[in-house]
Amino acid sequence: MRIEFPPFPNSKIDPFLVTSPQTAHYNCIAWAFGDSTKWYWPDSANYYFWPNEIPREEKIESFIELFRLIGYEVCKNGELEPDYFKVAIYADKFSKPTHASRQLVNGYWTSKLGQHFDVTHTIFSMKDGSYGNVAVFMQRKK
Amino acid sequence: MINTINPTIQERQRPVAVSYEASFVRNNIATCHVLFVGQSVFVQEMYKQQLKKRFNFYNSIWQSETIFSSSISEITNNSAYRSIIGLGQEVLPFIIDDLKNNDNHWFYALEALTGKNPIKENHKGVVPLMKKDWIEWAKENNLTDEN
Repeated sequence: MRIEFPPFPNSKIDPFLVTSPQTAHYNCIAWAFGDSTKWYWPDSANYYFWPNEIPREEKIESFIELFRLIGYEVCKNGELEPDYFKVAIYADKFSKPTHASRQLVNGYWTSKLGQHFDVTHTIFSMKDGSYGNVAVFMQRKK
Repeated sequence: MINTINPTIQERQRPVAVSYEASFVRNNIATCHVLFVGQSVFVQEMYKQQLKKRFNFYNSIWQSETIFSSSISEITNNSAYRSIIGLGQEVLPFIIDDLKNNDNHWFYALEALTGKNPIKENHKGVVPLMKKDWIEWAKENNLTDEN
């Protein structure tokens, strides 16, 4: 099912493709990380999952450290490279992390939209939406 | 006419500058209010229904405003969520009922309203288990019909 959402204005031109039922059992960070069993977030009250070895701070650096745990390193762009897996970390205008996406083998991206469903999309379709924009791309060797 | 030299007990008890008649009316209104709200099943039920309506109203706003968010700080700092917490402990049964049927992020509100956090260390982030811990706590504390 192809769908557009008002919080993502570009999805009107380049719609998302829904790829899962709606669930709140996991979020975008967990999904990009490769885990669909937990909600990842460095909340100060320590309710949600966040690895103990990473600072529990809502900063891009903490999110970069999270993906470093599984071998990702910061890279220049989100272009498809056959030898690499890639993730994109999004941030709002205050540089506060909001979202993460994971690149698929066909160059499209997969995202879990908060408590909504998973979608396949392009970087363009999510650009300037409620998640802000990509703050950093990371890659790891396949 | 009040005898200021030898005031009665009632006159001694009433606040200064409030006439005996005004004090009498005020006390009666307060008594009626307590009796009406405190003992009337009808009024209690009506109050509960109104509270439920307000809870549902804020809950639907909260859901629609945060459905796309992964950020727990954004989800729990939402003004509608804060308004639900502001309704006080009487909304706890509504929150528990909602939690039984949905996977909404009520955990912060529950802690804010009860001062408790029954979530086990290894359940952090696992929403179905976080729910389970809170629902069990609610049963133990008579906040749910299923005891």
